[in-house]
Amino acid sequence: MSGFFSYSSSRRRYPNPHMGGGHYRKKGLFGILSGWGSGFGSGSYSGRYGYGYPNQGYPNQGGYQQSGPGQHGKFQSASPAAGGQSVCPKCGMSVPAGSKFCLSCGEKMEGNAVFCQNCGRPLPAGARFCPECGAPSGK
Amino acid sequence: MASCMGKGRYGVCFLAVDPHGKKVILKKFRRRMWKKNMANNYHESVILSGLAHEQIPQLLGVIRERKQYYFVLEYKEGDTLKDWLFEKNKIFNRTEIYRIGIQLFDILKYLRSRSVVHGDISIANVIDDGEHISLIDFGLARYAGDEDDFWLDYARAADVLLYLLYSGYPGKGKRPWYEELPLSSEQREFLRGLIEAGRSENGDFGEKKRQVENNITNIKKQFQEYFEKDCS
Repeated sequence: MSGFFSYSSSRRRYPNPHMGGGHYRKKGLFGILSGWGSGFGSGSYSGRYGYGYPNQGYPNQGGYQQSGPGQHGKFQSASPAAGGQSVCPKCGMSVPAGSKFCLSCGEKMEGNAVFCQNCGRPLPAGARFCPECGAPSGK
Repeated sequence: MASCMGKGRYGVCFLAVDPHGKKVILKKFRRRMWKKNMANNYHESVILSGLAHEQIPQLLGVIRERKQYYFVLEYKEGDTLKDWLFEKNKIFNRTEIYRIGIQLFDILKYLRSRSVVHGDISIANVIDDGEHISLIDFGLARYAGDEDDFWLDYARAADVLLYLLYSGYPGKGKRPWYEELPLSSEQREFLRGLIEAGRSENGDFGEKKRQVENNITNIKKQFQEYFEKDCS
């Protein structure tokens, strides 16, 4: 009767490839508690704590990171973030260059939506030339 | 919210009315998809922020309510070509196909000037109101890495035209389209060149690409030249 409990019916047989190490993490109350402790969690699993944007090597974006789980509620300075990205003045999250709105709180950020007149790609905050085509930004 | 406009892998689109009484589209993302594509979710927002074309919906806002994400998009009048073809069983005549083709290549020309590859041009993503078309769903859109990336859009646009050409087709479709459809040799070669060139795996990719120059202005000009005759 080895096939009585088939693999397809067992709930956690197949790990979700997008879940990373989180699949193997304890679920339920003990899973949450162990996540709070510093010694149990891997520290890289941020999906459970809200939406974050990992660094994704996109041209002109130069890195797009949000504060980690432990930094929630802390206000970041409103200066351009690393890699020419902006920071939302309302929620303090990084906003990708070119986006008219903060993707975390929806705040309108017209000043962030600056695009190259020549090639149309987003310009990093404060850029004087387009990093893609080299055309002057007109600032 | 007034009604559900469509569902997709990404989530659901609702028709809604903004506080000023204007119709808008609320694109609600599935939480699972949003989390799964976390690294790429910003593309649509950034690309739409940089586009200003009357046949492309504008991004009007981003709403985050509890753990749900919504994009607020401009509403475009009309039905998708998919609905026209398969729900309303419309037969497109050559004049209409010409109008849609010209407008589609116009939009592609604009996207080319902004370095944007739509990546998902299909009959489900083209809205037609009888006079103007609109290109929607920039969920798979990206900035082009190199010149060859644009070929995907040109090939998919040719696919859309083929659907329209097939709308009045009475046959059984047992032979390939280039043998079945009543097209002139120029029209046939033009469409075939676009479709073949979009397949990068194809062995004769370079050959086909040389046949149809990689320049959207020329492609539009050729389309105009070959298909305008049918309209008179």
